[in-house]
Amino acid sequence: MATPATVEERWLAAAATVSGGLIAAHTLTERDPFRNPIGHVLRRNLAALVREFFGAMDEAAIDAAFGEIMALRSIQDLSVERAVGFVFRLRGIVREEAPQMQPAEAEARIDRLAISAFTQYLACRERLADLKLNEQLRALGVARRRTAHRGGAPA
Amino acid sequence: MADRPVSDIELKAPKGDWRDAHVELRKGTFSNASLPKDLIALGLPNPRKWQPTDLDWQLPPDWKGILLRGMRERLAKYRSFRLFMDVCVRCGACADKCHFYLGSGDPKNMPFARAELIRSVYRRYFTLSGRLFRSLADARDLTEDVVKEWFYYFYQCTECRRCSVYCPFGIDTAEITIIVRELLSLIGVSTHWVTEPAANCYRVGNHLGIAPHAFKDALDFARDELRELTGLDIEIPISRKGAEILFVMPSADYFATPHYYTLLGYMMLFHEIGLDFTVSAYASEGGNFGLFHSNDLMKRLNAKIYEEAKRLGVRWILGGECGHMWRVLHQYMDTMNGPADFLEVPVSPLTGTRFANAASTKMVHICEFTADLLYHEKIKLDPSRNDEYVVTYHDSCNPSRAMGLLEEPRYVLKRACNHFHEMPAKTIREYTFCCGSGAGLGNDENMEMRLRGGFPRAQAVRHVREAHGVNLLACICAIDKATLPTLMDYWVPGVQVAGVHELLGNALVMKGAKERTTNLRGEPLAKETANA
Ligand code: SF4
Ligand code: SF4
Repeated sequence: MATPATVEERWLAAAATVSGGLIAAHTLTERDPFRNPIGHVLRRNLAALVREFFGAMDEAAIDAAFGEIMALRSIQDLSVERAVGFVFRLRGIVREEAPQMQPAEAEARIDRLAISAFTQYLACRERLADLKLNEQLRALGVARRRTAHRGGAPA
Repeated sequence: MADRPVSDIELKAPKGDWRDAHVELRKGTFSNASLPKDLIALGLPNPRKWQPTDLDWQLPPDWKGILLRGMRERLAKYRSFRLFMDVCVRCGACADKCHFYLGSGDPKNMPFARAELIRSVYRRYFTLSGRLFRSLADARDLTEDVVKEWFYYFYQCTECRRCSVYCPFGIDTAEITIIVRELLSLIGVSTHWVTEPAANCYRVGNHLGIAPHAFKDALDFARDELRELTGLDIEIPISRKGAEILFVMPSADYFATPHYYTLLGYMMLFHEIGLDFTVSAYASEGGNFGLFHSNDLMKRLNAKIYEEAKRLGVRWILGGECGHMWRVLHQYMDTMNGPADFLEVPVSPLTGTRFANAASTKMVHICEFTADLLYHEKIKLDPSRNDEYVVTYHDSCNPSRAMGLLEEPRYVLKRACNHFHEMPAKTIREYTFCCGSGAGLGNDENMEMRLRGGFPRAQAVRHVREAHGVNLLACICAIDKATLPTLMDYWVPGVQVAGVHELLGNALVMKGAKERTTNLRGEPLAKETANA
């Protein structure tokens, strides 16, 4: 009998092993979040996603989970394809572990997950530009404050 | 738990031979090369225009000889270097302790593996077994690819020393990194983010190259703002001969935010206790990017501190909130540019406390000084002015691991704030996780690598944010103040960053001051907001 837990473990393995340079063993087995923060974030969020996959497919919950996963994967040495591609590994896993699920339904749900994953990946990449800009503004923080103080442009 | 063995969980080591030195220099994961103008200003070798992504790094013709001679000299000069090349038993205790390994999963970021990148070359050229048996002894030839690999991985080490806390032999990979960067600098391989501030510092006295009149301007502005905030005229004396104390701070305190609010905090404190002090337009930078380049450059940049103390005729030196500045001051200054026998052992003029721990350097950390004032009830605080903040404390690597400054900042914070929560034990104090941007890595172009390196720290902040609603990360390091806000915005949005003395300044009750309605950032106090 398939359980979401089985799906979760297999999906986690897939996510960890496609991560370039990741030592999958450490990612998968070390449970201390501060000795294995990557594994911890993957595990926590994949669990949430599997719950949604077998449940209500709540959009906000899915986006939040992928938001965290993609924050990580978008700054690793991964191509977009590899960063997002692990979502499609769910196809085979679900086919084997949850044969009771209608293939069309499973496909539709995986597609929705993939769209969220891709959107979150892009959002993370875009955030990098803002981070750089804000950091530069803070580096000139005193000059900006002075300008604002003297009635110039806003700080 | 899974209800059957899962076949596709592959517990295997990564593919490939670790000895393969080739590195993929992906945008976002390395720092730009030094500019020729800065190398020329500093009198450093091989100034040229190049970038790490170039195929040809334009190394000097005898680059290999230069590096091997450099290694030989340093093996003879630094006993620690020789020891660290010989004693690692590859026990693995340090393996999962480096934030760059934890955030990137790249095995060459395991501290022993990082050190192995030079150890393998050491074995090849400096041990009999390596000379005779090469690969059997895990010895590698020194090639251009190895040089590129060193550049990539030794500029991915923030010299934070977390690994050394766990090593049974006390191997300090940071010291190895310092030596490798020094070797690379001999052939003109260094980074812009390190050599530009160093060159500015060498010529003008501070990282940004702020000239004395602009320095004065910035401090005059602080005085204006303090007048508005407190109603008091808080003078900031510059290069005043005969003052009792020289106060040295990182230059970011007077040009960047949130550092600047810490500067306001210091000055309010000094005014309130009537401290006889001066800042200096010459020693206008406590930070020392020389540390991230070579011992020689660190020494040259540091020399101004004692020189200025002597010229101004002060009795002792007080230092502001900075990380690597304190590593240099505490661990190297006395040996490099001392003895400071023209100064006195620091004694607090308010409490009479003799800072015997600073008997040789003659320099006291502002947190020690303030904690002592609080302990002796010399200042009054109203912590409710910080009530909008739920605070946690990031131990900056250098003050915590290089100085053991663990209690004093906490003592100040707990008196200045009503809501304080620690992050998990294995992520603070001597076990603290680095911000991921120290040691000259904190630049734009290296952003992705920094976010990887800072990920473990951010996870610990996130933990207390979820558990206690923490919304402010306090710290005592200028690099932290520049880069932790970025880290928080990315990993834990909603958490601000502040210096310990900003929070102290918020809470400080000052004689004759008008009633405070805003904090040092000009934001309404929590009670004002509640009354509105
Ligand atoms: S803990 Fe020390 S001895 Fe053990 S592998 Fe790391 S550096 Fe080597
Ligand atoms: S000193 Fe810090 S950054 Fe360098 S290898 Fe050790 S833990 Fe990593």
